[in-house]
Formats: sequence, structure tokens, C-alpha cells
Amino acid sequence: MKLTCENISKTFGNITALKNASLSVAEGEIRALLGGNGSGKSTIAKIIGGAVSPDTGAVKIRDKVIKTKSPSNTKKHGIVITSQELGLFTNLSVEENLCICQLPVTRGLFVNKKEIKKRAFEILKSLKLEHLLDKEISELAPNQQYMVEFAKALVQQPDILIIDEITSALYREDVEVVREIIHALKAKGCTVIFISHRMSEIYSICDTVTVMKNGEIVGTYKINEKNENELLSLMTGRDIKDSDLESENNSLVYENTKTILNIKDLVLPRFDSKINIEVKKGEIIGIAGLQGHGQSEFLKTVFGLQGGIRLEIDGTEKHITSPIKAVKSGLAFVSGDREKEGVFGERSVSENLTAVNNLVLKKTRVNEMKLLKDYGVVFGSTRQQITTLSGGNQQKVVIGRWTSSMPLVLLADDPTKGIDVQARRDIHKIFRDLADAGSAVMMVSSDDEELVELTKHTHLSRIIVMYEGNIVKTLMGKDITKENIIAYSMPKGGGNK
Amino acid sequence: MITHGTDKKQSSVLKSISKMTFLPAVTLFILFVILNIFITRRFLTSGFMIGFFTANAPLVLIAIGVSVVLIGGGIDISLGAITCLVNVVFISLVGNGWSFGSAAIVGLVIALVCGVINGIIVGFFRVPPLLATFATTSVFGGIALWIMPTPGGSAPMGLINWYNSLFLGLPAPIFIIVAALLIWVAIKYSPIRIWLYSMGRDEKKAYMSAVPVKWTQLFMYSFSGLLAGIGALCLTGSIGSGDPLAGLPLALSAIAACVIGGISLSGGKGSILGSVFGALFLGLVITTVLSAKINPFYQDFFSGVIILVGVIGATLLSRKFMNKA
Repeated sequence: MKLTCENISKTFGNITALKNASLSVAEGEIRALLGGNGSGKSTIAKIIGGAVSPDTGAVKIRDKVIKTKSPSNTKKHGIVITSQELGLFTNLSVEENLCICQLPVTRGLFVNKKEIKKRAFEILKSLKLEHLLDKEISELAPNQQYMVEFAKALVQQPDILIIDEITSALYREDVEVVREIIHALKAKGCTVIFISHRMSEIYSICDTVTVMKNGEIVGTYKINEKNENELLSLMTGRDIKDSDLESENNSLVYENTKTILNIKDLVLPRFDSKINIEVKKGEIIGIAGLQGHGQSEFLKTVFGLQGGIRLEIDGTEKHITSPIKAVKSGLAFVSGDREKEGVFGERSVSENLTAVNNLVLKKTRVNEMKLLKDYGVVFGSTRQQITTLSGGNQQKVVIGRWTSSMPLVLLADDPTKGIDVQARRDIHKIFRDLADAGSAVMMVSSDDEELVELTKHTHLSRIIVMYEGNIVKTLMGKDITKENIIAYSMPKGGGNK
Repeated sequence: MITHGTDKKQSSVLKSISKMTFLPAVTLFILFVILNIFITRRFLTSGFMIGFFTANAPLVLIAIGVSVVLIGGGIDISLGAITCLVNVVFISLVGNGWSFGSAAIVGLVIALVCGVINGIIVGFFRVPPLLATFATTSVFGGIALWIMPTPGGSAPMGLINWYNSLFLGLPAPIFIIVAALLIWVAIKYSPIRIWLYSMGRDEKKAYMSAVPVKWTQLFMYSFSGLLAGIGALCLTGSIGSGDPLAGLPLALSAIAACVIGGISLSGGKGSILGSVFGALFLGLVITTVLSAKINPFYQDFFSGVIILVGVIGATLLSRKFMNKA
């Protein structure tokens, strides 16, 4: 076997992340790792990649035990890990980032800039991203950054490549490129471990799938052996049928519904476009569109992150000049970038949950235990540091921080990025409950299917499709389908960009 | 996206200007040169220039050294103490009949060793750099006081004469500063530059990207130590004697010079050139205060106010640029 993990266990404090996990992957195999929040997928990936050392157990390559002491050690064995926690440096250029793991030098001393550029160009070209050469990472859109992160792994010519959820922020076009590359690597004998929450990707990319639950391996199957619901059942340990997802009501009662947020002539400077929309009480609005067509800028502008803006909130004119004013006027903003704009990494679960209520709004206390339990957050104690939770659980805490502040409008910018299917459904339910309680939710997602799923089961909902900073289409009721979203997000006049 | 060609060009120019983090420091420097042309007598004469550079070369050199540490995400507050130590060792050795050359080499080796000690404590024992260099400040400074409890001794006349003269038509200290900058230029073309900036931005990610974090940290503290050694020899040439306390204030002034020059204390941002101009600006502030014939009791106060106004102005200016780009 090319790669074998034997009886690996790992605990963080009093949380068991992995229990006797064993796994073996063959040469040229593309293996999916599937599991819910905190099932141990990322932990096992990090152990193989040398970022975390296991308590017990061994990692073997071709039946030889290797030291997984440090990333530079495992890189020598051809193991390359590329993860959702991007390893990119925003202050360096794209090509420097690509080659940083192995800088080519001339005369043993000086960086060979030509060689860096050459290597970077080759890789970027294979990803159809030549235009990113010479740019700085900070100038790139999030999905482009994830593609560069993927490219950075490819430059190292991996023999064993671990992809930890980098596709979660990618758009359809990008994922297709990634799929092609992975299959080319497979042809060369490279072993790939692929972690993703998007079922469609797993089915189109992988050969086999290993399901994990609570730090243990449930089983390994050929990909065509199990259908989506069967895999979900294995992951969650409960029976999942399509009927669970049926909606009970999808009627539209827009007349006589109160407008809770009125956005008039909002300007997105990058596109020189104007946006007008009336958000109704109890409504969920999904915001769709191709990458970088102003979806998240729109939400950020409403939240006062791009300078002052005048909004009519709950019937009164408000001048929002900063996030703090936005919060006090009843807006809330959940970012998909947990690390940077979500969690307070050094602080406890409890502090993260109550930050807005206690520090900004000075409201009454939150019933922490009840909220965490309702949201299905897996945690040891409310006093543990938030970064010890898995990504999905962290995001639920962040969302809890905002929902407990009883916002009139919750703005969510791709909030389920890199979160497993179950947690994603939980979050959708939280949003729906919030809408039922009379608030409104506006959510951007890079995954069209997710938007359809979210809005389909809601009484009052629509999807707006954005193109070059304008709302080009509003979909309601039966028109809400993935096909329609794709059709309306494409540039007009035929031809793909 | 529809943008007009000229707009795009203009915004890309603004963008590249906004990337020049040293611009505020250069602006302040130029403003104060102009100001001093009017208020300081004989400002543009070679005699004054020699005096200015001999007095400020130590600060410039130490600022160059500490820049590298700051860019790499560390901090080094022990450089003042290293300067003192090298100064008194050099003077003592010369006093005991050592030749200028051998005393200077011993001084530089001591500075390098001090830097290596800092580097090992930070890089390999993983002690937070502020604590590590805070402690070694007392150790190095303590040894300096031990060797020479009170100011005394005298530097060889050869050093003082050369250091305070024109060399090839320029004040001699300029050549030492240029030499130090050349060392940096060599480093700039090696992988160390990329490692430094990556570590300054995020040490964990750098470690994950197989950057030799520990060794790069060892390098940056050694480099700053060595530059403090060179700075100490300049200081000796300037004050002409040994003083166990003379170099101490340089540690913080150098860090201030870096920050004025656009280096971020959180690391990963800024350039060495900025620090040089930051240090020269601080030197010009003192010149200005002296030329204004302010009562010595109020000099500190006024130089503080001038620096504050300058720094606030520069910060506002650069923020305006950033927003436009």
C-alpha cells in the first residue's frame, strides 16, 4: 500500500479527535474523506501532513514508517497538504507564494527569480490562471486565492496530495479545473486524499470514500457502491431520506408584508452599478451569481464596511457609517471567513457567543447552554478556547453570537463555506427559524444548490442573481432552480467568459 | 467591468505609490531638510554634514538592524545595550594597548555573539522576543557597567579623525551606512527575504510551508546584533570615549525610526529604506530643536511634539493615499 495510517489516536485536551483510526490508500487512488463536524477528517489530514503529531499510531509509506515530526519532514516524502486554512502570505507575490516551500537558488545563495517565474507560470497556465502572475495575494478574490493555494501544492510535485476542503470556496468553473488536474495526477500514480462537503464533487472526482464519525473510521466504500443518502446516514448515524427535505409550504404572500429594510440606489463603486431592493419581514433572500460579481461587496456595503450609507430600516431613515452603527440599527453580519472576520481565536466559546450582546448592545444575558444545545454545537465546556472546536461548530457559535442579538436583518456572506452537510442543514434551519420569528436573512453562497435548498423550504423567499454588480434577475417560487440560477448568472449575448 | 484606460493607469500608479511604505518618512525627511536650510546656520556646508552624519550614523545602523527583526515578526530591544557593551570593550582593549583593528574585530564578534544568544533564546527556546531581549538588555548592559562603571578612556585619534572627515568628498559615516545597506541588498536577493516577510505575516503558515523558521530567527537577531556592533564603533568615533550608558536610548529610537519608516510592529510589512529615512528624520528633529535655540530643559518636550505632529501628519497622508488606490 502506498499510504497507511495505523491505529492513530489523538486527543486535544479532553476532546478525542481520533480514536484508533486506520486507513490505507493505494497508488493512484483518489480517496474521499467524508464526515460531519469534528469527525476527525482534518486531524488525520494534518497528522499525515506533519502539522500535528499523533499520540499513538504510525504513518507508513510503502510499508515503511515515516517520521511526521514537521511539515518540512513529510514534504521530503512527497506528502503535500493543501488546506482551507490558507497557507498564503498576503504580503508576497503570487509566484513567491507558489514557490516558497522550495525556493530555487543560483550559486547556493540567491533566489532564482527567472526560475520562480517559470515554475509559477507553468502551474498557473495549467490552472488557466496565467493572468494572476505578478499580482499580490491581497489583490485576489477569495476563490482565486484558493486556486493559488491548490497551485502551491502542485508546484511541489506531490506524490501524496491531501486536499482539505479547498474546493469549498470555489465556483463551478474552478472545481472543473481542479477535477481535471487531480485526474492527471492520478494517471501519474499520485495518491490523493480529498476532503469536501460537496457531495457532487465527491461523486465526480473520487474513486473511493472513507466515512468518519466522532473520530472513528466507519468504513471505506467504492464510490458507486453508496448513494448520497446512504453516505449521509453512515455519517450521521441516522436514516436520511429525500422526504426529510420536502417542503411543506412554498407559497408567496408578498402583499401586505411589511418592508423591514429598504435599500435605495446603493452604489457599488467597482461596477458603477446601483442596487434597489425592499427586504420584507420574515423573508429569506438568497444572493447568487458568478464569482466576484459584487455579491459580498453588496452585503458588506449594507453593513457599513465600505463607508457611510443611508438605509431605511424598519421605517426609519438610518445613516450607517460603521459596523457598530449597523449593529445598533438591527443589522448583523456573518462572514464566511471565520479566521479573519468570525471567531476571536484566543477567546472562549462563551465570550465568542456573547460578544455582541455584552459588549456592543449591552443587552440581557444570553442563555448560552440552551442556545449551544439548540444549535447542536459539540463542545466540552463554554470556557474552552473556541479554536479547539471544529470549523462547523465554530461557525455555529459565531452565528449564535448574531442571532442572539435579535437582528432585524441578518447578512450572511457565504457562511457555510467549508462546513459539512449536516452542520449546513442546521445553519439553514437556524436561518429559517430566525425568519419565522420576523427577521429577514440575506445570504450569499458560492454554491447554487445550497441557495436552492435554503429558499425552497421557506414561506417567504426569493433568489436574486447578480451580474456585474447589478441584480439581473429575481427568482421566486417554482422558478427557483439551479438551472435558472446558472442561466441568469451567465453573461448575456451568449458565449462564456 | 467598464473602466477607462486612463483611470486604470492612474489607479495603478496610485496603487504602486501606496505600496511604497517609506513615502511618509521620505516626505518628512525632505520637509525637514527644507526647514533646516532656513533655520540652521551653515546647514548645507560639509562641516555641518559631517557633524550630522557622525552623530546619527549609529541610529541609522541600528535602525537597519532592527528593521530586519521587525519585518520577520520579532522585536529586539537589546540593541542599545549591545552598543554600550561593544563601546566599552573596544575602549578598554585600546586602552590596554590593542591595535584599532583587532579591538574592532573583537567588538564586532561580541556584538554577533550577543545577537546569536538572542536568536537562540527566541528561535530555539521559543521565548517571546520582547521578554527575551528585555532580559538580555540587562545582561549585556550589566556587563558593560561591570567593565566600565563610569565614562572614560579615549578612542584612537586615527578613528576619530577618519570618522569625522570627508572621504571621497562625502562624510565618512555615509560609507559605513552604504556598506550596511549593501549587506542588506545581498540578503534581499537570497531566500531569506521571502522567509522574513512570510514569517512576519504568519509564523505558523511559514512553518507549514517548510520555511526554516528557527534558523531565520537566529539569522535576524544575529544580523541586528552585528549592526549594533558596527553602530557602536560609529558611536565611539562620535563621542571619542567609552560610556556604558550612551547607547541605551538607541534601542527604542531605532524602533521608532522603523515605524516612522513604514515598518509594521506586527511584522511582514515595510522596507529598510524607510527605516533609514525614519532615522535621518529623527536626527533632523534634534538639529531643528538645537537650531531654534530652545532652552535645554524644554528640548525633549519640543522634539517630542515635533515628532508627534510629523508622525500624525504622515499617517493621515498615507491613509489618504491608501484609500485612493
